[in-house]
Amino acid sequence: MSNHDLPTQFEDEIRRAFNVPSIRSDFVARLELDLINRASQARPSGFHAFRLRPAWVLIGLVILTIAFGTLIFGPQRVYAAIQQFLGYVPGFGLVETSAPLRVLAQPVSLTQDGITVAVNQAVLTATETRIDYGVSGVPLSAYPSDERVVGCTEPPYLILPDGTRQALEAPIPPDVNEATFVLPCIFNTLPGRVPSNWQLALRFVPAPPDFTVLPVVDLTTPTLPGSPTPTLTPNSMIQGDQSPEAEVRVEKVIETGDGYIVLGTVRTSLPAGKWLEITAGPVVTDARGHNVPYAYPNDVQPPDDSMESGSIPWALQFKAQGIEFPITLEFPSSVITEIALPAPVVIPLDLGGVPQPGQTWTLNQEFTLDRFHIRLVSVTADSREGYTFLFEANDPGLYDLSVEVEGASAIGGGGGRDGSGRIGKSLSFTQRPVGHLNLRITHLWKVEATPLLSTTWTPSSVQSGARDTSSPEVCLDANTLATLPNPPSSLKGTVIVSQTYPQMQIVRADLTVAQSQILVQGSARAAVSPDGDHLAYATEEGLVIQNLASGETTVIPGQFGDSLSWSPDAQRVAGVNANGQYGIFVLRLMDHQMQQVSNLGYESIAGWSPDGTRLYYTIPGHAEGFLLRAVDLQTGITTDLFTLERSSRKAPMAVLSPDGQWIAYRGDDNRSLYLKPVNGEPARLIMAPLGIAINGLAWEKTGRFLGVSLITEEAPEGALYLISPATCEGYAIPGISGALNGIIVP
Amino acid sequence: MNDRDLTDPGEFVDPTVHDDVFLIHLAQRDPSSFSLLYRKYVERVFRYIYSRVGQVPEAEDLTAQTFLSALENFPRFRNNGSFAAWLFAIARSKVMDYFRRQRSTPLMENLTDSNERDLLSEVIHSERVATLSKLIANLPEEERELLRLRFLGEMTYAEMAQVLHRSESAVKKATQRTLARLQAQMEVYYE
Repeated sequence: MSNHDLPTQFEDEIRRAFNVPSIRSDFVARLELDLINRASQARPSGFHAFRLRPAWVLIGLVILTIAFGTLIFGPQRVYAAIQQFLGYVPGFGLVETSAPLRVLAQPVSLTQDGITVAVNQAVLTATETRIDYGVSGVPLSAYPSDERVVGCTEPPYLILPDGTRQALEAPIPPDVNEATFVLPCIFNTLPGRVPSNWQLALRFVPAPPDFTVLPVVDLTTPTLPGSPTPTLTPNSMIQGDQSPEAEVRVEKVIETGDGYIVLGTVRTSLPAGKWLEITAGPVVTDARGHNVPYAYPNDVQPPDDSMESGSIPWALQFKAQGIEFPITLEFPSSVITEIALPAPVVIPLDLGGVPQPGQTWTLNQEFTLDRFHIRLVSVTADSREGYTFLFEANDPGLYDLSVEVEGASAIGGGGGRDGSGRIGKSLSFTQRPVGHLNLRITHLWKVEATPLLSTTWTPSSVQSGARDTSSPEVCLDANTLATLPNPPSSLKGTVIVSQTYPQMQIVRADLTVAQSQILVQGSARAAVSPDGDHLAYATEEGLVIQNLASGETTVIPGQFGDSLSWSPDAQRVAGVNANGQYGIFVLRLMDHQMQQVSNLGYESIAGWSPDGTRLYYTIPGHAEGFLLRAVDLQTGITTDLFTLERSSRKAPMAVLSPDGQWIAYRGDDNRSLYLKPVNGEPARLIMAPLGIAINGLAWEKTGRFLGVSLITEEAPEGALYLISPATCEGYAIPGISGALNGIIVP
Repeated sequence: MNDRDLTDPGEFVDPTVHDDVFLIHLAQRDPSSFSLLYRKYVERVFRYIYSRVGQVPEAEDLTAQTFLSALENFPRFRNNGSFAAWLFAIARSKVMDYFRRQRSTPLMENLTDSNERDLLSEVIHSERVATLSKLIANLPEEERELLRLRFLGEMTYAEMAQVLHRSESAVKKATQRTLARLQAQMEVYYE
C-alpha cells in the first residue's frame, strides 16, 4: 500500500466511504473452527486436478495460467531494433519497450553471517522498474517458532542519488543510473536474529545488444507501415471450429527460439441465463494427434483487455521441436443454462416447533422438474437460523436449483453441487421459520457439454530445428510415455513407495507384476538402505529402522525430520532437523551418536559421496534454481558447487547417483526431469514436462535406472517409471502408485 | 507425521522470497495451519465481499464459502503465484455466483442502495465521507472494483493485476486515475 502518493487521510476516507461494518468476532472464530476441523480431516494429497466443481476449475485455470510453472529460457535470440511497444524479457515477462531498456550493470551481492542478499538483475522501462533479488542462507532459527507470530514484513525499497526514497517497482528517471537497494530486514525474521538494513549499490546501463528482448507479435492488430516484418503473420493463425456462443482466440505470440509462448482468450457471447465454465486444462495436440507438452509461463501477463466481460485469458508455452503444425488447442467446457419453471414446485415440510441446530429430517421426497427426477434427501437445521436442504438427481446434468421458503424472506444462503453430484442448498433467516413450511423450487440450472471449444494455430515460419522430430536427448515425452512397456521379467526387484490413500502407508511392490505389500501404516517417506535390507522412517516416537526381510523394527527415540538418507555403508542415516534443532544431522546407528553438519533447517539431502565422506544437499538459491552444496563430514567445510539450472523453485528433489557422478532433479515446471554431471557441466533434460508433478525420484543401486513417480490425473498418488539415462530404456511399473522412496534390485 | 503433503515431498520455498510464503509453506505441510492464512485475510475478504453485496449475512456466508473453497483447493495453489490474488479471485467468483443466483446482476444498484441507506442513517459517516461515498457509488463498476481491491482488500498493484488479469502498470494507472478524479471532485465540493 505504499506505492502511490495519496495522503493517508484520503485513503482512510475511501475506506470509510465504503461503509463496511466491522467483522463479527464470533463469526470469525466459528469459521476458523470450521476450517480447522475440515483441515484436520483433509487428505494431504490434493491432486485430483480437474475433478473439482466446474466453477473452481475455471478459477483454477485462470490462476494456473498466471501462477503455475516456470519459464523455459530460449536461446539468445536478439532483436536489436524493436519498434513494437511490448517485448518479452525471459524471467521478467512483458515489458514496455517504447523507450530504451536499462539493466543492471552487474549482479551485486552482500554476505553477512552466512546470509547472502543478491540483486541478480534489473530491467528499467519508462513505466516501471523490475528488480530480481534473492536471499539465501537464512537459518530457520531466525524465523518465529510460534506460527502466530509474524516477523519483520518491511519491504525493500530504492534510494536514488538525490536521497529520494521510492518503491521498488517505481520507474527510475532516465537520467538516473544509480540507486541503492535497501532491504530493511529479511522477511519474517525476528529482530536481532540476522543482520538487518542491507544496502546494495546498483548501477544501471543501457541494455546491451545481446540482452534478450523477444518481440510480442499481436495477432489482432494490423502491422503498421514501416514496422519490422513480424516473423509470424497475423490472421493466418486464427482459424478453427468455434462454438457460436464461445470462441478461442490466439491473440499474441512470442517466439522463444526453441518454441513459442501463445497468449489468448476464451470469449463468450452467451445470452443472459447462460454462462460458460472451463472444466479442465486445455489439451494441445499437433497435426499427427500427438500431445504437445506445455507449461504455464508464470511471468507472462494475460492480455490487457481480458478484463472485459466474458473473457477468460490463457497463456501457454511449448517447445517446437518434434511438433507437426498446425497445433489444435481444445478447452473442455460446459454451458450452464438457467431453466425458469412454469410454476414453482412446492414441497410441504413439517419441521416441528423448536428445531435444534444440527437436527436432521430424512425425507427422501421425490419430484420431477423438467427432465430431472429429483429427491429431497434431507433437511438440516443449521446454527445460523437457517436450514440446509440436500438434493439428489438421477441425471448429472442437473447443475443447481434455487430454493425458498414460502412466506419467509431469507437473508443469506448458498451452496451448490458437491463432488458426488449432490446439491446442498442453505438458507439463513433473521429468525428461523418453524413448523409447517412450504419449500418452493423456482429455478433450475442444467449443465451441457458445449460443442468443441477449440482453435488451431500455425506459425508462419517454423523455427529452426522445430521440424527435427528426433529428440535424442529427451528420453521420455508425452508420446513415448504412453508406449512404455512393463519391465521385463528378468528385471527382478521391488520399489518402495509412500501412499496417502486410503491412509498414509509405506508399500513395497514388485517391479514386474502387480503385487504389493503394506510395510508400514501411519508413516510415509521411507529411505531405503543402499543394500536394500532396511528402511528408515520418522514417527512420533522416533526414527524407525525396519528390517525388510524380518519386519523387525528398532526405534531410536527422538524427533527426526525429513529428507532421510542412508550412508553408502548403511551405518549412518542423515536427516534434516532433529530434536527441535535445525540443520542436517548424521546419526550413527551403532551408538546413536549425532553429528550436526549444517544449521539452516530447510536443506534437502541429495545423497552421499560413494566413500561416505561428503554429504550433498540443496538449498534455495538464486533466480536460476536451487544451489547444490557439499559438506565434508570430517572438517565441516561446506562448498557451494553450482546452481541446478532450471530446477524447481519449490523443491528439486535432487538425488545423487550411487557413483556420485550425476545428480537428477525436478525441473522448474515441477514435471520435467533433468540430469546434470556433478562436475558442473550443463544439465540435460531427460524427461519432458509430463503429468501434473513429479513427486519422487530414486536411483537404483547400480545407477543403471532412475525411478520417477509422476502425479497424473489418472494416478494422483504417482505413476511409477524406470528410465535408463544412458540408453533411454524406459519401463512403466504396473499395478502400483505412490511417491517413490526407493528401488531395490538384488 | 500424519499431516505431511506427500504430493510434494521435500518442497520448500525460501521464506524470505515472498510475502505469505512462510505461511503457505506451513499450511502445505500441515493443513490446519491454513487458519493462519485465514486470520491474515478474513477481514479483508469480508470487507471486500460486503462492499459488493451490502448485507452482513450474505457477506459472512460468501466469506465462509470463499475460505472453505480456498481450503479445499489449497493443494492446487502454486507458491509462485500470489496467495492474495488467488484468494480474491475465489471471492470475486463467489460474489459473481451469488448475483447469478439472484437472477440479475445488481452490483451497482445493490451497492448504491446500501450506501444510500447507510447515508440516511448517518451513524458513522462524516459529511465528507458521505460525499465521497456518493462519488464512489457513481463510479463505473470497473473503477469501483479497483478501489475495493486496493483499499478494502489491501492488495498490492501486482496482486490486483493478477486478479483482474491486467498488467500491473495498467492497474496502477487506472487506480491512480480514479483516485485523482475523486480527489479533484472532492476539492470541488469542499473548496
